[in-house]
Amino acid sequence: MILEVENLNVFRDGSHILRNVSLEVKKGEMVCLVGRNGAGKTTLLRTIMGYIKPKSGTIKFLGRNITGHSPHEVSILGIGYSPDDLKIFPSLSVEENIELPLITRKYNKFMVKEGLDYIYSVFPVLQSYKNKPGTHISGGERRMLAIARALVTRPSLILLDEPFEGLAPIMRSRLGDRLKVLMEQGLTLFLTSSNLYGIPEGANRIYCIERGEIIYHGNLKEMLSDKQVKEVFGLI
Amino acid sequence: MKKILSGNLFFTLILIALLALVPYIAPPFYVYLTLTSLAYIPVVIGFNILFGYTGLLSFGHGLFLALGMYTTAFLMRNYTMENLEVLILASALSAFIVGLGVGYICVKYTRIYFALLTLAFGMVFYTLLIKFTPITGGDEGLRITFKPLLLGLDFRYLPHLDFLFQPYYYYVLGIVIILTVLAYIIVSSHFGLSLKAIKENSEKAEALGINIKRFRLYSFVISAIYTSIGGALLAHITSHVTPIFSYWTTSGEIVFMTLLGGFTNFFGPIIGVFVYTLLRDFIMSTIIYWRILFGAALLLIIIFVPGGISEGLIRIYKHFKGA
Amino acid sequence: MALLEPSTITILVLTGIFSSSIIFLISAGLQIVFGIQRILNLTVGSFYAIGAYVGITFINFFLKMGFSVVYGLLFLILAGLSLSFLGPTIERGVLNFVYKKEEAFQLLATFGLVLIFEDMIKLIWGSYPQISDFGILTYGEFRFLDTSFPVYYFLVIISAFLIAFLLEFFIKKTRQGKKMRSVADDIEMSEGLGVKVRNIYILSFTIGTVLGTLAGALIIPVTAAVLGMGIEAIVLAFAVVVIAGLGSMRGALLASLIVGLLQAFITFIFPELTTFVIYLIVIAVLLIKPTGLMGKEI
Ligand SMILES: Nc1ncnc2c1ncn2[C@@H]1O[C@H](COP(=O)(O)OP(=O)(O)OP(=O)(O)O)[C@@H](O)[C@H]1O
Ligand SMILES: [Mg+2]
Repeated sequence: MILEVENLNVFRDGSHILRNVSLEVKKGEMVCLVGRNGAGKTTLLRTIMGYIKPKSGTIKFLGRNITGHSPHEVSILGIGYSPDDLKIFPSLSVEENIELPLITRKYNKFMVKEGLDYIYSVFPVLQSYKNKPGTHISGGERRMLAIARALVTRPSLILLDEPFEGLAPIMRSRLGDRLKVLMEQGLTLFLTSSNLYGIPEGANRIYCIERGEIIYHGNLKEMLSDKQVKEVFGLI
Repeated sequence: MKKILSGNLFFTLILIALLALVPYIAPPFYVYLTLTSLAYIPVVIGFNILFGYTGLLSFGHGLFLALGMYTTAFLMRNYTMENLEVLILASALSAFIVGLGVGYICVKYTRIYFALLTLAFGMVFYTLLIKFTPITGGDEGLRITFKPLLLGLDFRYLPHLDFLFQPYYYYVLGIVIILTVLAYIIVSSHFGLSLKAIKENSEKAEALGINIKRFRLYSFVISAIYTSIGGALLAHITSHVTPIFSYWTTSGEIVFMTLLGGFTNFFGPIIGVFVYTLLRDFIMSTIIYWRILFGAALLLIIIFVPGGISEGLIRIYKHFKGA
Repeated sequence: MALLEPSTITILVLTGIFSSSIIFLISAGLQIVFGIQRILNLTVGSFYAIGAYVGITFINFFLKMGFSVVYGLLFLILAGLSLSFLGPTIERGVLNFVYKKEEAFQLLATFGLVLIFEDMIKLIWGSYPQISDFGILTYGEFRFLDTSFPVYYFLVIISAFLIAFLLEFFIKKTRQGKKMRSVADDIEMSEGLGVKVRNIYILSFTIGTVLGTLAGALIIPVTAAVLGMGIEAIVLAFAVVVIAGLGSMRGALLASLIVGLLQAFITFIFPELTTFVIYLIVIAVLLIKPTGLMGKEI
């Protein structure tokens, strides 16, 4: 088991944002968390990363309890994270943005080079812009860059917050294909989407979150016939 | 609620009675310190209207303190203006004009930029005071050589200290009470609440239709006037006004007094003034290295009790009440 | 103006650039800490003063030990570097506790430190100005047109440029520099990618400290160390960073040059108006471009 979240309760400014959230991600799986705007997806990812301290509940990563660990520790332990707002560093070039997670793990020069080459093979477009400031590329490319940063250390688990958000249809399907290839290479992926279109085809399992509660868990086909889910997404 | 209010009122009255008794019961030196503290009360109240209620940290309020002092000294020397009421009004007027100008520029900025800008204005005024010797007396400053008329009454026959410790003391006490009550009314009014709304969430306040910049400017001008009046009162006590009052260390002292007493409470800064003035004198006369103590005190307050003495007292009170 | 003959101008330009170098080091110390920690670190003025006092103690000690005065510059640099321990001490001991507080409190905390250091200096060295036995003409004079300048001036100017260059290299090219830039951009994201922000804080504060102490040590052949020199320095450095734009290193270089040269010329023509003019420029810059000449947008 890569990730186990149990009975997580999170409060912000006194309001109960995550209610008894439990979920799990197994090795080699692609799991998608779907929920409307404000349902609590970002909050869950940020809690897993250690940015937010939960009121109760546990988060286990590779069998190890990481609840309350700092984001820096969580990252080093092997979780890659790409936030919904990307957070590309404007003072770093595209290449330096990709390098950063490698540097923080004290990789030597060759390992850094190897990591960069790996990323450039997955996202060739980034190589052509490698010396540009990180924010001087298009929105879609920035999305790639954010995913590249999460991916470059080849962590045991990758968290992507709404990776398809704001992408043009072609870019969406291209990114979807990339992710499929990565999955075939043995990656484990946990991603979110605020709508049903953002659920990639390859998703093994889906959790649906509404007002901080997991209201559905299963595969995509069954989900679309679930009454509660249909209500939430206005399919009735 | 009513009970609390009447309790507050009760304590306030006792405090005023005590202050009124000071010239009779305290040794002259402490009367002098108390008088100095009284003059500083409008200064910190003014500062805190801007800091505590509007959320703008001025690191140049010494400018307005010096402005009040120099306005007083200048008018007395060059126009032999004697009526203290006129001098106070003139100081308020000059603060109104200067505060409007400086404030107009400063309130365009907030946070650290505001602090830096006010600091810069304080420093410019300081150098002006030093440079324009014909008007300001330069480094030496100006001396005030005669006593003002209080409510038109002439006390010039009294020796200097007797004048300060009797008629002048009560005059200052009276003015300070009036100004304090007025400030309390201001901050509790709709205007004061708007300032707080701006401080807590300026975007929300703007959405509610509050003209943020204009309110900040009002707050700045009121603050300047209060501080300047404090300066006008202080000038007769020191009888000597110097550019140092506009230097950034003086501005720093004003900030320190306010924090020491507690900026979150209306009465906090007033406590701060008394504690600071008394302690400073005690410490400065017994320990040469008083800055180490002040610096350390500042750090401790910031780290452990950002609400200053008043917050500390409230915490202790709650602790005992709860226990 | 008859006053400004070519030789006078040369002297003023050179002394101006010399003070620019010192001012640059101090303001670079302010900038680096502001860039990373978002705190306007008034303490850098105190570090400057301590650098000067310790520099004098250092060099007088070595000269008494019989070392040649030729190594003077080296000892001064050593003195400046030896004070680097102040960085982690203050950062962990004080700043660490105010990062989460309001900006006003952060500024005031460094003000508190300035007060403490003022008296610590008085406690250790007393109230009298301290003078080093290391004369300004140790390295001889340099003749140019019909004037002459101490070679020491050039050495300091070169050192400052070297330090500026090293700093730029460090920030742009090294791993620590990249981490520093990422933290300056976004603390949370840096953490999420594995940056130990605490270490970067310590590092940047220590660099800021050493820039201050080096500046102080380097100035002592030129002036005595006096009480209050730290506060005077901070007033100038503060003007520089506002003109430059908070956090901008290149801006600091440019603004130091402006302030240093202005200071030299105005002090010559209208002494005492120097601070006034410099602060007038500060206000003008804040009004026209509040982010400074080279600052990032707020
Ligand atoms: N710092 C905060 N303080 C208080 N409430 C917050 C905070 N951050 C988020 N919330 C609230 O928590 C709820 C969940 O927010 P979250 O950002 O996790 O939703 P989301 O599912 O990621 O939505 P989106 O699809 O819009 O990204 C929202 O109602 C939001 O208003
Ligand atoms: Mg979200």
